[in-house]
Amino acid sequence: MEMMEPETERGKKIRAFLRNKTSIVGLGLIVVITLIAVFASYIAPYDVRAQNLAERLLKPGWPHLLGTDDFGRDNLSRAILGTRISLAVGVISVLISVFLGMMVGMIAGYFGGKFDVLVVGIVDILMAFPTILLSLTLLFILGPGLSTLIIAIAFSFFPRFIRIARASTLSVKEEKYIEGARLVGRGDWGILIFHILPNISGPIIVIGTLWVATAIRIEASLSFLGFGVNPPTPTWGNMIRSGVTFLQINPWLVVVPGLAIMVTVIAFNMLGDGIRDISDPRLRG
Amino acid sequence: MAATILQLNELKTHFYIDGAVVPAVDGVSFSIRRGETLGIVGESGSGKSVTALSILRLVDAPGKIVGGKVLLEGTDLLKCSKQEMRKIRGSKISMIFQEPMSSLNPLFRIRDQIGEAIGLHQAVTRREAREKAVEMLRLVGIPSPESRANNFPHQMSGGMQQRIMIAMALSCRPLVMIADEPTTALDVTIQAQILHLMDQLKNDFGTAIMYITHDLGVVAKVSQNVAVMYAGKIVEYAGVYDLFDYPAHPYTRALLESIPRGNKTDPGNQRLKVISGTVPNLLHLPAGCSFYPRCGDRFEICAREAPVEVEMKPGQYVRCWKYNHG
Repeated sequence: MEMMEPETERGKKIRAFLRNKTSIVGLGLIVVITLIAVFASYIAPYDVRAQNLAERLLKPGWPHLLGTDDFGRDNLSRAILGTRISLAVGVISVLISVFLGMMVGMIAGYFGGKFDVLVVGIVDILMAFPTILLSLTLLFILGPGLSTLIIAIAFSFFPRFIRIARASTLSVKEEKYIEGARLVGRGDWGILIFHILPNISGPIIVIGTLWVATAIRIEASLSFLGFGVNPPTPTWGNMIRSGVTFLQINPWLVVVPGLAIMVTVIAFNMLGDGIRDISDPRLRG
Repeated sequence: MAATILQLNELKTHFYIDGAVVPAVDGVSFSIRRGETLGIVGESGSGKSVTALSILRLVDAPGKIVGGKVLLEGTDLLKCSKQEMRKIRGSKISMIFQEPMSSLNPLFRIRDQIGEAIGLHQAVTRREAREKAVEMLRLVGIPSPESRANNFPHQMSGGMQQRIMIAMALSCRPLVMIADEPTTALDVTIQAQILHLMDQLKNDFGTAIMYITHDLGVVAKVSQNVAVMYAGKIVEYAGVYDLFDYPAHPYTRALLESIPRGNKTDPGNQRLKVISGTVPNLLHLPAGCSFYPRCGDRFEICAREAPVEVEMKPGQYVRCWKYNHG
């Protein structure tokens, strides 16, 4: 008689994830995009700064597969390099925001008191403003640049994650197993780290993934407005900004980065949905 | 006679709600000896669970322990620091409660949950903690403990989950285990198994048990001594045989009479005997004896003054004017 290997929880989840077509496509796309970002310098056929004024504003063809911009720089190479910044900004700003947001939210939700009241008040005020406005404000204060861009976007998402972490903490802290943990001798900080944190991570991971898409869009918007990363470093946003002037002559300068943004945003949305589908219902047993 | 392990002296825990004071535990005293099982009986709201939480100092605002002493082997727990209490919880005193299903963290494997209790109080490596956890599972009668240790809580039945709770509670060989209605949420056959298990482990480990319940049948089976609580006070304390054979307090008698039984002596009278009235609102306790409104044996003094505890015979105490004429 054949002995069956007991199914692990993780195995079940991974299989469920892989069964979902959306999540596979999303994951696949993101893997590809990440690889492009990592190996950008090797993949890009041309140096992004190499200007060739004789070959300006070419439409897609050979050898410039996606055409050239107004300085004769290869469009494809610029788009490939742009992946690096867009992905980095998107992921890092969300990571920072999630990390700080969870810390503040968990502490406020668990300990309550005056700190909690203060946090809720500040969060409510900040969330009354549109996200882009918050990031713009911070960019004004901090000045342009890649790191300030990341900080600005992280700051604009920060209240949202505080709110989510706090709400989840409030409900998890009432669960009986938290009291059980106290009964075996866990202190408050141990409970926060070992019991509350793992139990609130699920929804936050899902939401975080979805907000990476938003972060990428906001980076593009900010760069488009001229507040993000400045040329000559290519980002999809500032490529659109420069390209818009030549829309009539060579729309590819706008279309290519625009499509790149769209595909990346959709990919992260698919991944986020996929993760959500496998997490919540499973957790309820 | 075995040594006293846990002693409560006039413990008072009050809740402050909207300016009013709710005396949830109002002067509770008893002691438990090594290896003894003390049954604490009472209706919902009598203060049984708050007493247990007070012993472990897990009463949160708006509740506050306002008086008395809780002596564990002579040390007053109410005077310990937070850090000292954390060392005591889980290792010297442990507790299991009613719904094992919700008492286990759904994200962690069984071996890690028991391992947590062990790791917090004993200097062991993670591997050693896991091995001890498996050993505890074996001791509480879980079949195939090595593989079941890797399971998650939702993969176990209610009875098994309660066994796991017991394993966690006894993993550090505590002096006292408080069991707050551990079998109420389980079906009767499982209840019998769990009670048997607890008794057996008590003998093996020498742990004293404080068994809180509203079920007199369970009390009869497991306890050596019984304390009956009503409205925050202990109204009667006796050895289990004395309590059931010669119940003194009117409340105890009424409780025993209200147990449904096939009435062979009086087949004509099949009515369930209930105690008239309801548990008093702790915000508006009557002056005098709290049981007065529902008592069948009333005296004039009962309405005016709360009775004091009187020792009827060695080891049997009652708080009732019937036995205290002056």
